[in-house]
Amino acid sequence: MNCTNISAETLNDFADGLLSGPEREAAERHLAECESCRAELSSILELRERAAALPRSIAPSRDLWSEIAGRIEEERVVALDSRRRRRLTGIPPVWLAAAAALLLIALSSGVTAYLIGGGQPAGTPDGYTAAPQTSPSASAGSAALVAFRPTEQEYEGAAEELMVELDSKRHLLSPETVEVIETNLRIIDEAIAESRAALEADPGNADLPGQLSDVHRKKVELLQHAVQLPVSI
Amino acid sequence: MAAAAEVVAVSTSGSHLVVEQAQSGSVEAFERLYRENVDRIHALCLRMVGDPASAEELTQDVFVRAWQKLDGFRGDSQFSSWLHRLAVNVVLTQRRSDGRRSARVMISDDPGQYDRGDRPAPVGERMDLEAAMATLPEGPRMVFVLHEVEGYTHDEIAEMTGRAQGTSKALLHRARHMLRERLER
Repeated sequence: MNCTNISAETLNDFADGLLSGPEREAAERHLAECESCRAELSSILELRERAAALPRSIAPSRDLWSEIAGRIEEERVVALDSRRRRRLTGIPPVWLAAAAALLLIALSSGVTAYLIGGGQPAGTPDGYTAAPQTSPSASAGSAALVAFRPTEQEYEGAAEELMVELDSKRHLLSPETVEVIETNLRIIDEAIAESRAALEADPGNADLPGQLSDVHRKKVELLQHAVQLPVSI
Repeated sequence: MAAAAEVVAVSTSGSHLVVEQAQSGSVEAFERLYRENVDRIHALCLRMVGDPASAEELTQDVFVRAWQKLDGFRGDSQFSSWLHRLAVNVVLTQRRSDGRRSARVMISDDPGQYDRGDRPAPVGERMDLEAAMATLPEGPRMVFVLHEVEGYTHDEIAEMTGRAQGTSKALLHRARHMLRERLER
């Protein structure tokens, strides 16, 4: 800056509207007389405009979701393992067997949905991908989910009613039983999410709506079992 | 200018419901929040650190951190604004803990030292603003991005960086000076 009558700091503050009262008036008087400072101010304001006009969004070079999901899942597994270390006592063996069966079925549904969906990133062996890729058929995928929505709402409604009933007797169940129920519900919810994602990614796959129905039905069955469990007195 | 820091959500279709679902543990809902906000967060990270590889790592860190801290979102602001502020903190914290020299001098009370530490700009080539920003030393670059691009006030920047408002202003002025020199070559 060539002018010594006004500091760079004052000029920048003027550009940012941070001056007031006598200080601002003095700066305005000087700028009216000093071409050099007016040019400097103009340059600052132009830079501000260019910066403000920069795009607010820049997409990463690749989809980062699979890595994020993996890290999130690692945390969930660690948290689950720490709870599983608690001894489970007083749970009827029949219930444990049923819970284990539902767990296995839910997991299988999730994996199967992706295998059928065929969503495999290039260079990977057969398996499921955690990150449905954005594709030109995204609208078709959304449409498939919308078409399934009425059926899904019926299941969700049934599950919600059973959840309300279960919540009313939750305090009468042993903590271990509650933990098993909640663990299985979380797994089934994940399987539902995975099945929905598979359907959205591959809307033309006729098996996927049935898969999604199956998982929803299993959630309802789990809740039906849960509300029928004998309670502690 | 706190309002300028409010980021308009890409999608408002049931955003609060999606956040609640994510807070309840739905990874699917959180993925939706990711897809709605990733480009915005990545832009912030990229401009603050000036390096694409680091920016992508930090973007991942931001979303993992957001998942861990979801319960802290109370709904008194847009989720995107909360996430944006969290992203700034993640970047600043990461750079502070980074052992590199650039992190050590990131936000200094002596803006003059940046005359000695910045990257040389290519000569004979007109730079665009993004490229010019990436050549700035870390301190001035971060303040320039936060103030000029993202719209945070000096008070907010001072709070986030733990430095004085005067330092934030001085770094911004320094950044403007350097950028104007490079863009006018």
